[in-house]
Amino acid sequence: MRTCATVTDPWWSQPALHKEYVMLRGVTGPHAQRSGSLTWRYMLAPVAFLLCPHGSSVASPARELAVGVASVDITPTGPVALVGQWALRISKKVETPLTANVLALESRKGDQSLDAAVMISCDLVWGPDEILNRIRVEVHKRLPDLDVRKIFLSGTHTHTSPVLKGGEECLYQIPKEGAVQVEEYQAFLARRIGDAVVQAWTSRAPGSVTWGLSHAVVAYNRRTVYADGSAKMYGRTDLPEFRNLEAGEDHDVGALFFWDKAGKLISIVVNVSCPAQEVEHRQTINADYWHPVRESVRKRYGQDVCVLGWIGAAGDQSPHLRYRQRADDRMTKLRGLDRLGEIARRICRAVDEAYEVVKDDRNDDVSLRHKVETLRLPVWRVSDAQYAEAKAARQKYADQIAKDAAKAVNLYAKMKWQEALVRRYERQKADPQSTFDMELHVVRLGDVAICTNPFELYTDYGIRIKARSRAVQTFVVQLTGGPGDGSPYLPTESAVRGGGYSAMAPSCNVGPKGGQILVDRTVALTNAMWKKAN
Amino acid sequence: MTNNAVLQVDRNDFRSSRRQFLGSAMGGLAAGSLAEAAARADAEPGTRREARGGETQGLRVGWSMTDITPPKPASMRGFFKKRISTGVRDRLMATALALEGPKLDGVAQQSIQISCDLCGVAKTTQEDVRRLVKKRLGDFDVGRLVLYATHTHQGPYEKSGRFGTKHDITPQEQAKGAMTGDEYAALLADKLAEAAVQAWTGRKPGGVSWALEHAAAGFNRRFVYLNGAAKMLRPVDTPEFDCVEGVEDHGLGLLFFWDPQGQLTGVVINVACPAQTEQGSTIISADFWCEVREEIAARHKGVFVLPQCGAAGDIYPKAMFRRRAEEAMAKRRGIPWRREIARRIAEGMERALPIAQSDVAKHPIFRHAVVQVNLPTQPPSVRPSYVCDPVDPAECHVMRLGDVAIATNPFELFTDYGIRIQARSKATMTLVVQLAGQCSGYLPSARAVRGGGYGADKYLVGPDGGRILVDRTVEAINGLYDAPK
Repeated sequence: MRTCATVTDPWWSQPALHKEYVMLRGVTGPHAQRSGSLTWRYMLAPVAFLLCPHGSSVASPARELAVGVASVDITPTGPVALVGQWALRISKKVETPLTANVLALESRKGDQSLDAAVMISCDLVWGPDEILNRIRVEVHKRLPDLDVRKIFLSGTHTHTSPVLKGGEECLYQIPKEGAVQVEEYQAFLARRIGDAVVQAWTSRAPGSVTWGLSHAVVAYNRRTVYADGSAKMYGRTDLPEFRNLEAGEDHDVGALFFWDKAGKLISIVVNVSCPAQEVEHRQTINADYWHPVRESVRKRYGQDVCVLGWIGAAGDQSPHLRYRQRADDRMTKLRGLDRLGEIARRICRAVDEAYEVVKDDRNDDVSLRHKVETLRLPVWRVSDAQYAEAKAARQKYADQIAKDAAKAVNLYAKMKWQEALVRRYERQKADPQSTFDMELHVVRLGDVAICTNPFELYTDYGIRIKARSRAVQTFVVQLTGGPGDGSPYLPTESAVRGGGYSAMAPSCNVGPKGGQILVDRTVALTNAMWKKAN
Repeated sequence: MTNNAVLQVDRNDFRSSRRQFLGSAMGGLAAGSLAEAAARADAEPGTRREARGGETQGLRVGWSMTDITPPKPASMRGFFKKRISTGVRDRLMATALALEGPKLDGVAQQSIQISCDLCGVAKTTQEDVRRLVKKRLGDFDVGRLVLYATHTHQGPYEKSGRFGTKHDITPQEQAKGAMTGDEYAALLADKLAEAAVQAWTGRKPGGVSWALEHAAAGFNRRFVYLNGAAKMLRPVDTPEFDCVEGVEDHGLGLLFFWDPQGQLTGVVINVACPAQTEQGSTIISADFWCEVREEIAARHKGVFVLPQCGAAGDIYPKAMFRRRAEEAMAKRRGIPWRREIARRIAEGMERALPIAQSDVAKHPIFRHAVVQVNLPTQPPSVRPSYVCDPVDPAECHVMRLGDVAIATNPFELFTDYGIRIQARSKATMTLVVQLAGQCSGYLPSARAVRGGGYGADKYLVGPDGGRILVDRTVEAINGLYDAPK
């Protein structure tokens, strides 16, 4: 029976062929994998046919979607250094918990696993490879049958969450006493999230899914262009020289709804192209707008509902109001809300609106396919001048700190950032062909595509992907994987022309050339999934 | 041949629009509502005292609405191809709002704004209306009357000769029952003048409140390709697609007007999106504003709706890059796209209403300045083929109504300019209203001109003029807030 199923199944769903579409980082190249898969495909097909004399007349089990969810508290157990600002901030209190939310999906046909995806969203500044790899190791120990490359980790970009990169590359001079150390928190994260993945995966059971689209004005383009052509992040807009916000915004709210077999809503994925950094300057632990979003969603849909927040392409976006602020503020005040509450109101209204439309359109027989590959992107070269400037700046900060150690609170991160740039330059000198290697995930779930990238990806790229995708709805998820360093932006050509922080080599490992390669490859992988019938 | 066929359509089509009920119903209800409001106002002690005092101490508000659907087939404005209307899907309406505040330094503070379900209003139309109103209203300065359009592409030319003579009704077509642009112009002027007079003479004490909400109605329609060229409404699913050229403003500016009993009498809805979901048929329609009015009428009987189109020269009511998802959602809702746009607007208003209701101002500062701005123009060789009303000067109306400013301009103004005005305005909320007073074509931004393409290749006024327009508008708005209260 199972063999018969392989004949009628699409070729990509055969476990024996998983190697075809799972390309391990640094192991082999895409073309070699593809040709190998074709070999297997042609070898297996006739065998399967021979083993199935009745052909399609034999009933095969229906394809089903198994869904498992888990949420876990990842709030640090004590004061911790916070990431996202130049100054060292040690958290003074916990305003909201930080959570990791896990959605495990498996497509099955009878006893046969067709494909899987385990998606983790965390209230963290990003979802770096370093943490993901630890999670994969933890999970692999306990779930050896799960292909851990099918796990991806994304961050909501909250700037009131712990520093994730320790050691020599840590941007902050974190006191040894009175703060949870980075390595300690990393281990805690890996353990906690690993547990959650195991829980989600082992609890998976037949369920159904649908998608919805609505809108919420949450993000504003934060790059301001002036009459002289220059651009500035968070530049003032109330000046005569102000010309325009550099680029557009994407106010889509994409939603995925999952139900268990009994019809109980168990998970909602919400995709918003806006980083969670409204309260980014606080010296507290705070999940930013995702906390009130989750609170509100659970109040309406049930306390057990697992809410995953995905940040769409939003490298040039921010929830900070860029114009019309007094009008917005007045409305927020009259509603009796604060800014986080107002953002949550908008997102939750969008989710509610979408839910009301799609709640009866549940699909339990959907195509689930998950491609993972390593994409090698050209590194944005640091120029000789930038190198010299960085070296001098690094020294300047080091001297200032040497003279007055108290200044390290404000200057240490700047010094380390310049130092990283110097190292990057030295690496590129030593290896001119070096590339930025990223893990790219593309998931098809019925009519929906989910595409990841590790950047603070400028919105234009997300729109390019959406525009060219053959999926009815495409979810772009940024800050998924990656090095988790201080150069995460991926700006557009026009942004580079305008310059400024977040659009110059020092704050970007990859430039517009790499951006286009990312778009092209993401679109190619996505659209390949729509070439064949389910 | 085609035109002959068009003209053979039974004119009953024009009278038997399936949506005619709305205009009639609204007209009837409106009259009733105003009468009731007047009666209620007379019964309200505070209001009566003000009336006996001989001068209004607070805001006085008047509304009216009139049907401006052409009674015969007419040449339709909005596309390069000549179209003569063959039927009416829904009625074209004009809604008038009259406002009067206490005199300031002996100067009457008054305005009449009329929003029309038209592609644009010619300068001559506004002049004609002013002339007619002047004959009938001795206590109103007709220079304070301003018309504006929703930019439906399913309405008639408001005058002959607006596209050279190419789109004008020929004598032969006229002989077969079509009306010329000039015939319609006369009818329109009469109707609008009557609406203005009704609104003005019907004004009563009222309160105002405002709200900002959001509705994803307008989407940028200019797309930039990797070679730097920009095009309007061209495919985005190609490897050459670079980005959407500019931003969108999904703000939904709302002004609610209340009678002394706290009943809602009307609402101004400012949306930075032209009413052009319909794509060039020969059927008369107000586009999504018809559905907006229906949605609001279903919830708030007899409430007037005054549409304003914000700066939206580069905006369009359809999203190109997630079109399939948008259309699929509308299909799941079981509604056509224009109803979907209306739903977003009407529901945005509903969300704001409780907030607005809680903060009604009965004595807001009302001031109205008319600014004449001379703008630099392009040489004739690079102007558009359609007629642009001259801008030497362009007339801009700037009003202050409490915390809210209203600023008009005569262009299809690119969104960037609207955002600049809002960003620099001292008003808490600023409603930019395009296509007001006259039609002077697109006013593209500098980045749009760099990309070229329709809307940014031929224009009367370019980015230099845009800068002047913004500066003068901001100066005028801020002047209303700087002056002694």
